[in-house]
Amino acid sequence: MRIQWLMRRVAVLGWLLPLSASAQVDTKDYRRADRKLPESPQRFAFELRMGPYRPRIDEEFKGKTPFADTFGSGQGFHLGAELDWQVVRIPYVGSLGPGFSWAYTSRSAKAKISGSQVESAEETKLTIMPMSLVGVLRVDVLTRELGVPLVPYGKAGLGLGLWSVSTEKGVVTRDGVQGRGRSWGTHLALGGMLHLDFLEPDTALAFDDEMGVNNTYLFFEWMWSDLGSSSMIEKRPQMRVGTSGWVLGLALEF
Amino acid sequence: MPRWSTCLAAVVAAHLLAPGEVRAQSIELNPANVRRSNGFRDPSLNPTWISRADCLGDDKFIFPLVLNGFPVGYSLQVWVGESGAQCEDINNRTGNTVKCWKVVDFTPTSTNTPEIIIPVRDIIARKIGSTISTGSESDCENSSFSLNDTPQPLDLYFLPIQGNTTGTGKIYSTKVDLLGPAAPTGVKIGIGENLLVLEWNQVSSGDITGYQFFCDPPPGSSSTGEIRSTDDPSPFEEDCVEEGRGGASGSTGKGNGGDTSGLSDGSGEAGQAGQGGQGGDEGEGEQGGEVGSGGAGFGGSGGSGVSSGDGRTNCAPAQGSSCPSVNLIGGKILKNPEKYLCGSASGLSATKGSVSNLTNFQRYTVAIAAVDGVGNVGPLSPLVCETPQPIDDFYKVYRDAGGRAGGGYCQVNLTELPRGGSLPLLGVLASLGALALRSRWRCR
Repeated sequence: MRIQWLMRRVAVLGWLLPLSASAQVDTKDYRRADRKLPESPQRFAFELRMGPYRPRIDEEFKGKTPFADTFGSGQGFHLGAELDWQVVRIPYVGSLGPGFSWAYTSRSAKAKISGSQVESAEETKLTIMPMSLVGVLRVDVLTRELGVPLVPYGKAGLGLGLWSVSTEKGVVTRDGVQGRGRSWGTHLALGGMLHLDFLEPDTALAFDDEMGVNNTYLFFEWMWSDLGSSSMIEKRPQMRVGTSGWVLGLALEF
Repeated sequence: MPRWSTCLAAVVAAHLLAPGEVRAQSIELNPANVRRSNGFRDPSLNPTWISRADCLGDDKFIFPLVLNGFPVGYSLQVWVGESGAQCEDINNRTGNTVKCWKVVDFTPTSTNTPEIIIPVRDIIARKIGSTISTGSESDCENSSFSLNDTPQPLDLYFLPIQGNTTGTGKIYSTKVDLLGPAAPTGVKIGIGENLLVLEWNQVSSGDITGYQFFCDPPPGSSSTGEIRSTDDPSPFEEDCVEEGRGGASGSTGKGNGGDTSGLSDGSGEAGQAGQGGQGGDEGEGEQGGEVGSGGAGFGGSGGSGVSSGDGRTNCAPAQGSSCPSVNLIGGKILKNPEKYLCGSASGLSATKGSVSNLTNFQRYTVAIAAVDGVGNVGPLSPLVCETPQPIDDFYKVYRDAGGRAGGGYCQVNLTELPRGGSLPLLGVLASLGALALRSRWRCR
């Protein structure tokens, strides 16, 4: 048994040498292998996400910047959530499965009086709900086998953004066209999760025993979404409501 | 006759003939069965209370009673007293310390289930004394209850009474509130497309449930303000002619309009309220504020000193007022608020609202009034006015730049099948689905 365990460890070390070499810490207190009680089944991951969000609407136009002209140069903010189903556990690698994310962001500003640069008292608002259906690979072997509290991960899949433009009177209609629509695109993300259980190992164990939450993470992600930039799925004109940028959040595996 | 039977007869006779206490009688009154002749208003507006509209509409309480063993020779009287008045005590109904007033004196005859109808005006009239208090429309404005904008608790005592003898009765409690909340201050108005945006300072006192907006002309009307109908010589509770207080239109203030930087930076200063002028003048005011003259943004409200002075024969707007309106006057209570109602905002803490369905390039005069817990509309705020204009919302700017997206979430126009770059993504998802199914199959 001891030999097998050593071989496993060597194999993992060889596979992930660069990461493990820089992250050797004594973490025996929180490692799964050192748990006194059996771990509860782990099937899902849930993320609460937030970060800046500035849609790439102006990239559609040459020399014109309708988004910046209306809403200015601020970054904006988005809030979202994601639920992953960890269908497959790949030995010595991590979990793999589909995930669905939903987020919300909106920008508002005083609309200008037509034909002038004078602001009116009426607000114009752009609301975007970016969603994605992605495959998620979370490489948690570092944590599970080596005690390194880091879980790198990647996501790739299909994105959909629902957007609408409204004023005080509701969704606007211009030239008989309703000011809302959908934008399809690709969604990619790369990130790393910091395993928080080592901060309070006993609490983490109790959280698992009582609530079934196996792991808690703080994560940082770089996200790229080209919603509306591609006509591969839909040929209808689409607003480029995608963005790229960092996302910060909290994740639970249960 | 045996002694016991003599004793029994004496007890029975005493019981039957005793004048001081009404025997085994009861008045049944179920508050849930009480009706109003004009119907109940919205449950959120204390429908069992008495409002100014109830009084002006000559509303009546209808009390279905059930009388059991009501003694012969007694009358059923209804007395009203402020909370804790204890009208069952004769000293509170007559004498020097009288606190209660009578609104019904009824002698039950053939029915044990009478319906007692009490006009709310009789309750409000508050004519203390032995005669029945009867009210009229003027009591809606001039009773002692018209001076306080907080609800006053009242108890209605249904009592069997014969001479100085009072039987056990029933009490029905209600409240009366005839005065709406004070007018909002700090009213500002801003331009929108077919819309005007209003902001005001929260009214801190009173039982406010919301605010109502009044427009002249009302939305959908192309009139320019001179829309008073002949059957409505004055749209206000108090006719301007009867106004005894001096007060020419006065200077309606500087009212610097928003500058070109717009709403957030260019809020115009509210105009100073007009100062009362010398009585007897025609109420000519000085030059009114040029509200919003700098372009858009919130203009300051015009002064409220447009109320009439002595000698005015009607409520014609004062000369020079920046927001002329014969139908809306700051500080006045509208008689028929529904006629000019053009919007509302609910909640005590509301400080912003909008009026929609307006016509662009039509100038509107607008005022705000607070509404209390029974629907009483308070006096109008100082008038503000502005002209709706088309705006460039983001979608218009986007389309003007050449953007063509839009049309709704559910417009079906998918191309055949995803191709090119999306295929790998869909492949990943399909593989994950297959893995999931395989995993579940293995679990079985």
